[in-house]
Amino acid sequence: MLRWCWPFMSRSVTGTNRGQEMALLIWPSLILVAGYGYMVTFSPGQTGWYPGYALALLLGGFWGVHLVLRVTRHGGDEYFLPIAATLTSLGLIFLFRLDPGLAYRQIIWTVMGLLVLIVITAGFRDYQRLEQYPYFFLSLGLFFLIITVLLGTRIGGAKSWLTLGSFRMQPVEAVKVLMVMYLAGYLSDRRELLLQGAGRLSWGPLLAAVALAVFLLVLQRDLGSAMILLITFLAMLYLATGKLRFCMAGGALFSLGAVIAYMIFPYLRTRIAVWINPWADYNGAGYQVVQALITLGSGGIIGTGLGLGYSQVIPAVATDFIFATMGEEMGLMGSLGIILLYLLFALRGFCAALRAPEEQGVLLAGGLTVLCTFQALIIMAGVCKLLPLTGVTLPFVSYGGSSLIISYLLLALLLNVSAAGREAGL
Amino acid sequence: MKTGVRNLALATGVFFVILTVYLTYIQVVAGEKLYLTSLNPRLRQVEQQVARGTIYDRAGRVLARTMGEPGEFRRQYPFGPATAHVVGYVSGRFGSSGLEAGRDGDLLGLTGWQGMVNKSMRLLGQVPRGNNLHLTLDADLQTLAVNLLAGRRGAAVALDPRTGAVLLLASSPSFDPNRLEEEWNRINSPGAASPLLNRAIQGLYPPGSTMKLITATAALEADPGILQRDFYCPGYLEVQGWKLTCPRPHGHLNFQEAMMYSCNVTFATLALEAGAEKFKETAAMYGFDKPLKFDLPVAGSRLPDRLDDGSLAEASIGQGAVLATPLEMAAVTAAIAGKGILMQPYLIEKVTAADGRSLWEAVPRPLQVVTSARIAEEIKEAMVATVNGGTATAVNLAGIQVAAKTGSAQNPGGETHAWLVAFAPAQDPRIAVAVVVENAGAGGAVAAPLAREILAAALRR
Repeated sequence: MLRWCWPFMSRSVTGTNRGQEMALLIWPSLILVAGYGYMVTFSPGQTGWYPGYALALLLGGFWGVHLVLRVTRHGGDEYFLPIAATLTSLGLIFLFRLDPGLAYRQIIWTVMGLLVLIVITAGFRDYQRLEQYPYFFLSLGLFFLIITVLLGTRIGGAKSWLTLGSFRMQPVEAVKVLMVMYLAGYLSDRRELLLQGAGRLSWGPLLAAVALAVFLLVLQRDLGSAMILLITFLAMLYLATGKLRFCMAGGALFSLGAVIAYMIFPYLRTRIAVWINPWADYNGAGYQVVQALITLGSGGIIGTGLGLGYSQVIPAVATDFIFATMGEEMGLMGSLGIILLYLLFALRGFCAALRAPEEQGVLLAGGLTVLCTFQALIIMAGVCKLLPLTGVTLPFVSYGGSSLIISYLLLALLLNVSAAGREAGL
Repeated sequence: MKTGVRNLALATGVFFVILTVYLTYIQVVAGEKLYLTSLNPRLRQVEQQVARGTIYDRAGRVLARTMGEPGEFRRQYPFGPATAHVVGYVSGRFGSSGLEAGRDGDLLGLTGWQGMVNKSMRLLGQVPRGNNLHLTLDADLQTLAVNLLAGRRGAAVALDPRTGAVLLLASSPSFDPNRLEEEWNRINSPGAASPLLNRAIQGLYPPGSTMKLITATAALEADPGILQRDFYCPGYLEVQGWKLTCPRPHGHLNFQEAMMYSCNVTFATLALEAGAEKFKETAAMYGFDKPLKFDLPVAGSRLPDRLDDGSLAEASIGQGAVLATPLEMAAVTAAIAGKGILMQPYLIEKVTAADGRSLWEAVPRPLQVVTSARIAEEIKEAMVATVNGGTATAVNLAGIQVAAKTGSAQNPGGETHAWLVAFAPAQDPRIAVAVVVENAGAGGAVAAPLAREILAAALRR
């Protein structure tokens, strides 16, 4: 275990090094200060926020969370907050560069996300208590999905938005976390039963719940989320049972489902055709991917520099395609840096899972880590045409209130699990 | 359970490695190519910050140059419609085409090391100069060919069979790249016969009897004995219940006479004897059914996927589903002129920096050994006979022996497409030419006089 976490181990094995967290928070702070400089230099006449306020709010937010964690003697992993803060800060700078209005709103979302983080880490530290009601989470998640299917608004390709007056949200972000919480509770509870032959009664509700959720997501045409949910489910099933064959069977079923969906839904065929050769229809269906590839290629190794790119021609650049902007303006160095940050996040997440004192913790931390990491991987791979494009957000970075707040909620849960592990004295 | 977590972490790591490698490929290895795509809007931005390089013809005449001050650069095309398809145009409103689109990287100085230097110059507010292109094209021949084709739809291509250098690549109707703003509506109106289309490389036509050069090669390779054979043409040939006809019964004739009078029956018989396999293989050697690398995008010339006897008989005389570009048929002719060796066609002779320094020079190289010198010689003899007493007498030049083959390709659009492929002088070929005029009638009557003018002008110097 030590070997696994080697480069990112805190110096003291027991207890958490909040001093390390403080030192690491300097980096996102520097990024924010640089962003402040950019704001002041390039939009002096802009009405809107005073750059100073934005900077103070964000610095106050991140350092405030650090202080709260310190004061409440939270034992959570000290790398999570700096990683998330770095990603959010970079995201904000690029959002500002693309559309200052979005950046201002995203600052509010960030502050709200940090508040959620504080509430969860301070008030609901005992995640095991949360895990006692798996069916509550499942019902809530399915409720959200059904209501989206029935009353949702279609924006872009997917019908995944709920509109309340002038307020819009994407419940699917919450659904994914709710499903992980349900699975963590259910799987840890029924683990033994699932492994035994007599566990047929335990498999039924599990498969039915996941299948229903995935079906509802496909119905909304939110294929990215459906795929992420399936991957997370298979990963958690593997963690709970330790049997690869369940995952193989699941993967086979998934492939079968994918083939059937490919034959039924014309929009899916278009997606695949675009993935195989976006250049065939470079002004129509392939436009987004072609322009994203050109954007990434134009960045080269060192990039054009902040604000000197031309990625604004890509539709949905502030949400799904923000990685392309980063790749162009920071170059390969920057885009690999972003990838490395997610890799660090994944490693810390898996470390938290390894150290969790009991099964629920392992499943919850593992599931949440897979959820967040694979969402990032799938959209980054989609943007550079390694995988077919599915519109999901880049966690902590893309514009979007629902996505950002839920990302910080997820982070809070991971912090809590890792704290439980440390407190158990490992 | 802990093992599970570790394995999961490993699997995630593998995904990260794959993404990293792939992203490195996209941003570094493929990066420059992606950047230089004509679909990249960044290039239009660079356009006003860089003095685009000049494009010259083989004699140093200017085909395209940039005038005006930075920020108000205008592009000028002294030869106008004559070189419009090859040189193309670049316009903020209408995009870009031709070499102007395909060679953005050179013309704007965006490639490699120079690209980095120019980029920093632009950041400092200076105006770098792009590189110049020197083409193999002959502007006089271009003008002549476009004038000859005026009012008709068609194309003319000429190659130097010794090197593969493209001397002529004309398409009609054409347009004036200097007056795009005024002409755009007319150019794109349905009645204008698509002036933007470069028929010489993007036009796919049934090659008609010019295909018999390929059929002859396949037949001679399969059985050299056919040179001594006596053929009989009753005016038709029945294949699988389908009747292939000649305009008139040719009666008894030998190989050379079959070529002279373009006897369909004899060539279909020869193709059937050689077999579909051999026929396809020979056509592939000449460049059919595979992408031709060229400085401009070329449509792929092709045969039907499966050839049964009926479609083989059709294909042997260039009918049915056989389609070829004028450039491809010029290449076929050049290969015969080159004693069986097909040279890689090329259009750009060299690239020079703004100060005249040579940055890159073309090296002529063989693309394919198509057939033996002996067989090429036999086909040439038959082509010479065709000019001296066969269907192609109209291409005859005083004092210079020409070798040629006509074609009159039937098509759904009405009258036959008139084809003529030729090279001259027959004993030491310096130019190979292919001319096609759409729906204009017989090749020997319509295309041959045009080819004759082009050959005469090219060989006069």
